[in-house]
Amino acid sequence: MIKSINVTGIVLALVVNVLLFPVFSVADELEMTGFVALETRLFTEQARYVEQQDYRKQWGSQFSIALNPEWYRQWNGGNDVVTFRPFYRIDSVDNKRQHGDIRELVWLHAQGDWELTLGIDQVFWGVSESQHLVDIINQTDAVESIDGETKLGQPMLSVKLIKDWGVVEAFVLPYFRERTFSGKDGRLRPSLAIDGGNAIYQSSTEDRHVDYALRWSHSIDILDIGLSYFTGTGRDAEFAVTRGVEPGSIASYVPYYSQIQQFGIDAQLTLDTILWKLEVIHRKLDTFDAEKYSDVVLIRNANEGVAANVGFEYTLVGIFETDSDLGLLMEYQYGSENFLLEAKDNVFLGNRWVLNNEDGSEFLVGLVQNVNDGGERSVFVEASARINHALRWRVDAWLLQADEDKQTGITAIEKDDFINVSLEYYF
Amino acid sequence: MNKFRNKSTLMGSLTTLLLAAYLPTQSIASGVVMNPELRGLAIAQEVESRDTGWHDAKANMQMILTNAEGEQSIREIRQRLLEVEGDGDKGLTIFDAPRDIKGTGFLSYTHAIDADEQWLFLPALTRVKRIASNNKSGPFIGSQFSYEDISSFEVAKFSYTYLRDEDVDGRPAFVIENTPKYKYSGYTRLITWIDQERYVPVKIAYYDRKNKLFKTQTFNDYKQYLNQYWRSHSQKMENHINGKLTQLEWTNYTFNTGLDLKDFNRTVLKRLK
Repeated sequence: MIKSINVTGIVLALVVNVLLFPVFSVADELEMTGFVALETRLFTEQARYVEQQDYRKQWGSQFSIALNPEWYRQWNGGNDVVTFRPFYRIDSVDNKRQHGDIRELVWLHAQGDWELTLGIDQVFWGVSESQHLVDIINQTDAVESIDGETKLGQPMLSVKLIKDWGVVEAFVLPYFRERTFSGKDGRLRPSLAIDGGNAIYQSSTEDRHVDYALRWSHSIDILDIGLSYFTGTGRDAEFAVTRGVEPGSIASYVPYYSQIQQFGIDAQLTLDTILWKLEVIHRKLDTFDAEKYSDVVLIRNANEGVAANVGFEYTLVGIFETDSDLGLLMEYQYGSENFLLEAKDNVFLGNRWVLNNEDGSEFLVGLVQNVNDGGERSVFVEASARINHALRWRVDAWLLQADEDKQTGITAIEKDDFINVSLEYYF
Repeated sequence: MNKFRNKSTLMGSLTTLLLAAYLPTQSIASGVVMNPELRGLAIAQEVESRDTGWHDAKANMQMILTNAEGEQSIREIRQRLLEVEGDGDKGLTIFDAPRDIKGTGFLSYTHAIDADEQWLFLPALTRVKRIASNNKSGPFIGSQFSYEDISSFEVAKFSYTYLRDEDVDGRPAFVIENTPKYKYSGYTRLITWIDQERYVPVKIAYYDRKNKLFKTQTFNDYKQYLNQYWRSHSQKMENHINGKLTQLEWTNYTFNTGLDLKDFNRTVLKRLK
């Protein structure tokens, strides 16, 4: 938390505020919106690690409240926009899940065929549903959701050029955000809680390393395509093991952030009833300097690799003579052998049922099945609907399965099946 | 796009020729002996040509959804439109209410015969998604209006048959049967009542795929802009099968707002809240 209120962030915030303060007085619109969410998580199995609050207790529960207000101001006919969106979660169990962030504090200026963005922003790249390979600008706020969809705000300066031949975006990312991890009391963690506070970096400038990214994207008839390049501190944490006092024992897991270069392609073909989706990345990590970090052992199989996600979404419109749409999703997750990416050789199958009713009811059921290892799978259900103009309920449930004897990404959290019920109030 | 434009121009010229040959002294309105297909087409072309040249517009819309039990829910929407001559228009829709979808943006490039191109911006994920385009028949945000009901009128979308003249609320109207050409249309036919003075629809009856009366839309409170373009400020869609009703109340219509093609690029979705 202390690290998230960092110098660069404050400087950028000040720049944004100070530069624009005089303009605020003539701003033609000021709005405050956002939501508060009350959330209960129920874990259906006993926690397996001693320090976890629900250790050997059935139906462990975790309550939390999330605050997500947003202030939005625009002027100059909508060509200048300032957005401020802080976030805070209060959590009854896990002091690492209780955390805050500045999701957005950003000034956007549009003029002619270009746009300038300065501040903390959220940027999404890609087309796939089951994983986001190409998406790399923002760090994952991993304690928020198991699917990794929630991101931390990223300080940036970016320029976007909008031309007939596509959109080019260039990013300067002056500050790195560390991934969030469950604390020792919390669920959804390995046998030892990851010691995020003691992260190690390849770069001596650590989280002040300046990263760069470039993207071209275009929409040509039925094809939407993007090419992207990133160089800098990798957002995915690797894990290093620190040795314990006993020979061969482990004292802790610490995140290791390497310098990487990543090239990505994302493409979608939109046909009448079917969407074809492809994401491919090539990622190269700098060699780990084992001599420099002699006190830790890095868990890494390869310095370079390719990962891909390919699939489709087929939509049946107006099923059973109702207004409902049923989307059938299938994606294959490929990772080259021994590459660090965890999602590999998995098949994702999903059904998205959208009722198209007044309440905006939606259901998504998904299965991620490992092709090589029949025992490794996760099943999830996401459902939500409006209660009235300001309230929405949401239920997410996850069932995680893995073979005990095989150490995969899921094995450590295999006992952490949960149901998450939340009530969101929008203002 | 150009193909349609040429085709519709060609058909236009052809109609004019035929009109000139057969009915040198008769206007469209009083043509009695013209065959019903040609007459229907001529009226549709007049509807389109009178609504050509407005370029761009902005408006606010309140959508009132009423279910069979009389319970209401309200959506608030800001709409930006760019005219595309010879093809469907480009539209940008920003949602203000219900609050859980506030900031959601919907960009559509509508086409007469081809599938529309549609992008959705989801603020919670800060993600722009290109979405499937065969849903023209599907309901627009849970209302009784489908995507095809709210997209712009283009002559090339239908084939036409003039049926009769009939008064609607004391004003004379042409009654025309429109048969959709789009293969994923939710309708077998539409019966439209076109005001004979203003050449705008005043009522449309929609027949579903089983050719059963499905919905009726009525257009009220027409106002004229730029001394030419008539816009209904109160539209009502009644669903005869489920008993539900959707009303659209339009305010703050403005034309020539300076919008152009770049304001309908998918990149603008993110900054329009």
